[in-house]
Amino acid sequence: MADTSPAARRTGPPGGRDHLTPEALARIGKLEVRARQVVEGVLDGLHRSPYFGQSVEFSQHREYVPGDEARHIDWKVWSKTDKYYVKLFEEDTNLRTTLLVDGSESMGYGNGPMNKADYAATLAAAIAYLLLKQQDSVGMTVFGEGVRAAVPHRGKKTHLNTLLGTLGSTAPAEKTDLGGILARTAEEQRRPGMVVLFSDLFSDRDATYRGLRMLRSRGHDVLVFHVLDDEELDFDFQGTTRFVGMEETGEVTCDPRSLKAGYLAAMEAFCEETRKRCAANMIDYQIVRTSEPFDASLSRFLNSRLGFRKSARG
Amino acid sequence: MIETLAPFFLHPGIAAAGAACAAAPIIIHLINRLRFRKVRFAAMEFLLQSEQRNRRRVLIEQLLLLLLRILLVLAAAALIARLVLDPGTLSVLRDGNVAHHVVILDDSGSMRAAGEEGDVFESAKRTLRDFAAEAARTPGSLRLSVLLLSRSEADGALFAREDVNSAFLADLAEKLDALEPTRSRLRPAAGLAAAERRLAAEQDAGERVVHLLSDFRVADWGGQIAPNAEPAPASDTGTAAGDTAAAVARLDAAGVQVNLVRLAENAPANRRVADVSFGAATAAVGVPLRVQVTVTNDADVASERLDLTASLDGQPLPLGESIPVLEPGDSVKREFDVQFDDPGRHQVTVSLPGDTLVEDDSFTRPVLALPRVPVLVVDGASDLAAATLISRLFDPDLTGREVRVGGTDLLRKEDLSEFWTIYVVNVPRLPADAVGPLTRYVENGGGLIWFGGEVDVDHYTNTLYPAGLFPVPLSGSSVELPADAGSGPDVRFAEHPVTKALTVGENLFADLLTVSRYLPVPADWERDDLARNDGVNTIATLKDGSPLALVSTLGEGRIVTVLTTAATSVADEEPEWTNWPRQPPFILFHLPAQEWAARIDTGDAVGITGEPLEFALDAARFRPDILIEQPDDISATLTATPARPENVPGEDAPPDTGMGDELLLTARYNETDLPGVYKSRLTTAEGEPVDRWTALNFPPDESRLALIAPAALTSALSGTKNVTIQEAGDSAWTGGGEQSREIRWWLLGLMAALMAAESALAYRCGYHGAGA
Repeated sequence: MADTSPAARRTGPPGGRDHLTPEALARIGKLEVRARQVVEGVLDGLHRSPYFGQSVEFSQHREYVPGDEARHIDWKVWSKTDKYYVKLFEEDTNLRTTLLVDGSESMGYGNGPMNKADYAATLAAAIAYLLLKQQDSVGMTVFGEGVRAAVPHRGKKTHLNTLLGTLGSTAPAEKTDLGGILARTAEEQRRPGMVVLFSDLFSDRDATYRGLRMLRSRGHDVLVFHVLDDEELDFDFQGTTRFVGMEETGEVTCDPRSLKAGYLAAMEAFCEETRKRCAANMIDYQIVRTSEPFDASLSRFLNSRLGFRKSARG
Repeated sequence: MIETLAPFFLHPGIAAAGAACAAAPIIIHLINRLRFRKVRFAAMEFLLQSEQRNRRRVLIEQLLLLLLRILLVLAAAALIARLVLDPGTLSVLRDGNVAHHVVILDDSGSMRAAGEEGDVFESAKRTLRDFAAEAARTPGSLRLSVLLLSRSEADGALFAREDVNSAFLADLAEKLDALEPTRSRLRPAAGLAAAERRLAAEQDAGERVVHLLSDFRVADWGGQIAPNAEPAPASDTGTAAGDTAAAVARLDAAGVQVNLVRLAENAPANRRVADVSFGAATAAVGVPLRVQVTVTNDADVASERLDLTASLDGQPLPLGESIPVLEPGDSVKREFDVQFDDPGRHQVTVSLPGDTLVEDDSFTRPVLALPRVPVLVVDGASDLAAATLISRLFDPDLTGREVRVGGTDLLRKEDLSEFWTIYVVNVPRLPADAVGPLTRYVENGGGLIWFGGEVDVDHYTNTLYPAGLFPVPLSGSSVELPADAGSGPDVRFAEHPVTKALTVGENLFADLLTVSRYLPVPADWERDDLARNDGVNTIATLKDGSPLALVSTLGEGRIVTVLTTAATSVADEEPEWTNWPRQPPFILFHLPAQEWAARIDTGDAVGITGEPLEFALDAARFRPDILIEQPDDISATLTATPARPENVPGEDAPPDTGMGDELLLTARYNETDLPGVYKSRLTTAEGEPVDRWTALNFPPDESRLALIAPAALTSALSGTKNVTIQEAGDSAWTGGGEQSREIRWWLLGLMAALMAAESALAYRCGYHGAGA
């Protein structure tokens, strides 16, 4: 008889989505395994290659033969010649992706199985795994007030170990100077590439927006994973509570219910403003809850990247 | 603080505690502020923004919430502490001061009347328990005295100025359980007077309240009866009502609050055996004695088929008497005969089927049955013809009388007290040494019957008349009744027990009689009994208006005087005075006359329960020890003591026995609450026992259960300021009165409003999805 207990369900075979929840992944100590688990899980769920349109370049046309995918038919050519031709591509292995991981003290907040820092590290590792698997080069910066750890860009699969080692050894600390890090990255990464930011964005807003805009002006594709805990988004505190700022931003003693509406309004305004600013600069922006399954976050990232690329190429 | 709150709360102690509890919401709030959870939070920027924007609103809302919660606690405290806005409404029961409440429990006989929830006295006890229990909630604020009407004369109290607490309640419950109403006639005025005496010395000691727990009958208060109640019979109502209202007025004037608590809502229907009397004071063995029973219906509805039962010395008699219908307020009489087989004292009891007041459904009267009733007939004539004629009228077997006939010397030689009636017939002049014994005989209750003839007018007028032995003066020797003195028969009989048999059929028997000679009274002697008013009543007159037969009394004795002869003829050569002795009406006169005039001092009496048995003994004749056997066969011994020489205020006067300077021994027996026969045994100086039986029956005034109408009671107490009247069934006064209850409802409404406001505000202060 099959074991239907909750424990058995959590440790069931890969292929279901249960093993991609933060609770399940939190029990996997090694970050590499986590990352691979996330990526394989996501790929199992996709119906087409995630690599398409992202790291391949057009090569030439050839006449259509039965068995070719219809989606590769070049309809423009058909409209002019009334013949079916399919497009052929060759892989581009020179995409440079920079992962910016917020390692400030505020990322250490979280009451679930993973705090924001763990979640961000796991997500960053999964993306790095994915990119290295398609032979892109990946670099990474873990930051606080300044750069706390930096890994140069490499495209070898063995580079993943370096990235994971850095993520695993950097605990949350220090205040955040997000604007400075973004500006510095824009200055250092002259060659256009992709910049993926994992942060709670609790920093000087104007500086942050300036930094993001600067990255875009340098030609970078920018993805923002706005990592937030459930309690930060829902503020479900009960009873008299003294809130103490994690990055020396004061303290408040209150009945949380009396301030909840105001808090949520302020948080919502912040997220909305950030979303609008990113949209205005064609920055892909995602709010990620630390309670969300990783596959959902990663799939949303991949799908949005696909759409983004299409729209960017006209 | 309690003193400050006392004028506004029935329980100021609770109010004070409640006021202290008002600090509880503040304390809880402060504790919550101190006992907080500490959270290191990342998104402080937004929290600080929210706190900055909502600081004032949150502060105001929290203060408002705190205020509402404090008010809620205060309202609850006021509710429990029984807030009364107007201190005047605390007139009945107010704590805070050490008030002295005197509760008068009416334990008179009428309180035995049964209702749906037990008798009225049970209701009184229940009310007292409730009152005390309510007062015990604030120990030390009230002192309570409990008086019983039955002990008010002696100023005794069941409880005197006791602190009302749990120990008192236990003591009270124990005593009340053992307490039963008396069968005595008791007046509320006496209880109110006792309370007045008790409170007189406490004028400056604080509030004084008297509660009278009673049934409030017309017999006690007078005035108009309550609707659907029985009609008010003639009684001592007027006096009692005046006394009671006056007693209330006196308390009112003294600043004492009087709370009249009516316990009976409706007067229960009640019937009673009002009286049992005998055709003769004494009875003879083997001779039927006529018993007359009077039954009264005091109810406001007719009673049907009332079967009477009777018993002789506790043994049922085959009676078979029944009253088919007895209308409200009516009385009927029934008669039956009872015959005694043995000489001595007996008791006859007549009973009705039991009703709401069973105590008055029986009536007992004792009777002395002699082997033969001795009668002495003294004749002045040597042939004793008239005496012999009279003696033949009393057949011993039929009448039970034993007649002794003789000359006037018997009056000197015999112990006259042995005879129950003495005839003096045709005696011209009594022997000088017989006047004294005969006078004492009559004064001590003996019966005397005179028949005239030729008499010594001077002796009768100047000796016997002044001594009271002869009722009228004589103007001279016998005179002849003129034939033309008037029309109609020679004799006219008036209504009287003696002439009862002769007056039937409109003086039918008078037509048979002729009177030609008689003893005249002076012309200036007033013929009208009412105008003369000397205790002498004319029961037969001649057609010229001259008196022929008179009745009078001397001391305890009765005298019948006939101013013509009982002989067929005084002298052969003279014409007959009257043909009466030859006619049937003669016997119809003698038997009732002898019955009426017979000695009534048999030593037996009838009284009412609760009244003490009084004894006044001639020290020369009796020893001081008196043995009393109660109806329940319990015996008690009394010792009579010499009477006080003069009256002392407040004390009973020695009874007037007419014994001059003789030493009197007096005694009083007070344990007379049981109805029935109390058998007293005296002992003469020679050691001979003398029995006296007294039958005590339920007091008639306690049988009349008609209640005074509320309006009449209010009217009777008009002019008083501090008197409250509680209607039957309304027990709110035990908890502080009507005003208190009204405030209670207001407070409940206020509490509901406060709770709604608090909930609404608390909801507003919290976060809810719709507003997020």
